[in-house]
Amino acid sequence: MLNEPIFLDYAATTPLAPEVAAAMQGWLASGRPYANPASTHVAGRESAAAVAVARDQVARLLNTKPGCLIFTSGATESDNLAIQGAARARAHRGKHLITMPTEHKAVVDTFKALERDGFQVSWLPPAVDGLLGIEDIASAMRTDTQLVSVMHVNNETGVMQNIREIGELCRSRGVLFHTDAAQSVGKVAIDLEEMPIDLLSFTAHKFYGPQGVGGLYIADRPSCKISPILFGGGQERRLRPGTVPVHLVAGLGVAAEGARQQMHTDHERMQILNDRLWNGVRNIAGVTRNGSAPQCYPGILNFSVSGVEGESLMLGMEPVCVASGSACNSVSAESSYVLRGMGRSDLLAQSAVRFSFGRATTEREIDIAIERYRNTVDHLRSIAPPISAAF
Amino acid sequence: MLVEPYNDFVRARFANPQHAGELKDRYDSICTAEVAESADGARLRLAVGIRNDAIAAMRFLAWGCPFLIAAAESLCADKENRPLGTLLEFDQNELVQQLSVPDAKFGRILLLEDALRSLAAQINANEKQD
Repeated sequence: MLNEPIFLDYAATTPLAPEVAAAMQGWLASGRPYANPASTHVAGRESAAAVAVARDQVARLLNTKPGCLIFTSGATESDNLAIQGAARARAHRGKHLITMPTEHKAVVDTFKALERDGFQVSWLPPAVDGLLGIEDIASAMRTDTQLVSVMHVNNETGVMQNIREIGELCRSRGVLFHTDAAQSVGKVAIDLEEMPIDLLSFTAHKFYGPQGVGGLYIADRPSCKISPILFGGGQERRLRPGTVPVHLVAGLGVAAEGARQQMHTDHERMQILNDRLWNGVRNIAGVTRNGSAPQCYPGILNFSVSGVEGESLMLGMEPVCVASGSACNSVSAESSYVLRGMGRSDLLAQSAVRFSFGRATTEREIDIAIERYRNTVDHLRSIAPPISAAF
Repeated sequence: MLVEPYNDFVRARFANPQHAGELKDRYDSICTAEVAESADGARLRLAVGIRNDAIAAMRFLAWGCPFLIAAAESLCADKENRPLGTLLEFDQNELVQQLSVPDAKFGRILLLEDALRSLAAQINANEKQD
């Protein structure tokens, strides 16, 4: 059992749900007409109908109108389209934007690109618990502020921001509000008819759908206009040109339907697994939880430990598959910018491990992970030199 | 094909560092050197137990990546039971190749050389005192 990989990295990606794979296979199977949904012939109309079904399924998950959704290649593209598209569409009104330094790189780097293009960005750091205070956003707003972007669930810590409150503030000031919901769609209830959100990014592969497809919600409001950032065709309301990939979109739709049906059960199970893991490690000396415990998505648990080097911790824990910092950024030797942005020291940030759970995670796997973590921490501490004046 | 960040040489020494620890006082003399990459970077303590002008034992303590731990283990194993005069004989390029150390981690291996130089300086200073 111990040599079998134990996958606790579901925040990086989730496996395809069987019903999703079956739906996609139906489109990929040889012999079936596989037409461009933009084509007007009968085969094209069949593809277009499948895309419409998928759009309906995603709309039901988010309680919005299908016409408010456009399909993209995933959350990174959606973030780029939402942020660049909103900033450029409203640039004639003002060039001030607000976000957090602890956002996903897809958001951080997009804002940095806009800064290079002459936009001014206020980077609002979170408190030590990872949460951003509504008063901080209100204070940062100016008469020329056009867009606020704050992610829903942080991909490293699971911290869940108060997006309803932030959205209400933005509406009251006439500022667009975008949220990167890659880690929350399909896992946390989101009601877009009721929540004051203008732009919301999501991706299928975080909730048992295929990699390579996602979407952007654009509120049906006159003030919520964005400019395209890609050009070449009229697909997806002229905002996302390119042939819509029917098999991927069909998979996304089925994944959304499955998430809608299983969300409550999944969420309860995540909480049980989260509690089990945290209770198994919390009494290890020097362990610090990263993120506000009462306001975290329970499918993600991130903690640091003093006196242990992160890369060695990861190797010692094999075959438990977890992430140090952001999985998307694991090629970087730098410690997590998200945790440093929350005020963690380099040493603590460097020793952080993110555990994330999924539908297939068992309590037995959690127990093995706890044992491996404890043993590795003990071992690495036993071979580490004490901090002395020489250092 | 899986991309393995650590080869078998690294994995074996990381998993079972037989020379990790400290030396007991049963040698003619013991010298200890501590080096660090930076304030928050890797740290290494090397200790050499000298008996009859030979390296009777060498031990390490390390806080750092798997490459540093494996390199320290390899160095200690290699140095034991050799004449004291060979203490500074250290082919870092050979060790880098054995461990397949990526460029970004090369600085960790240089810590070994720094520690050996520090040990040699102490031994020389002790000999002059004697």
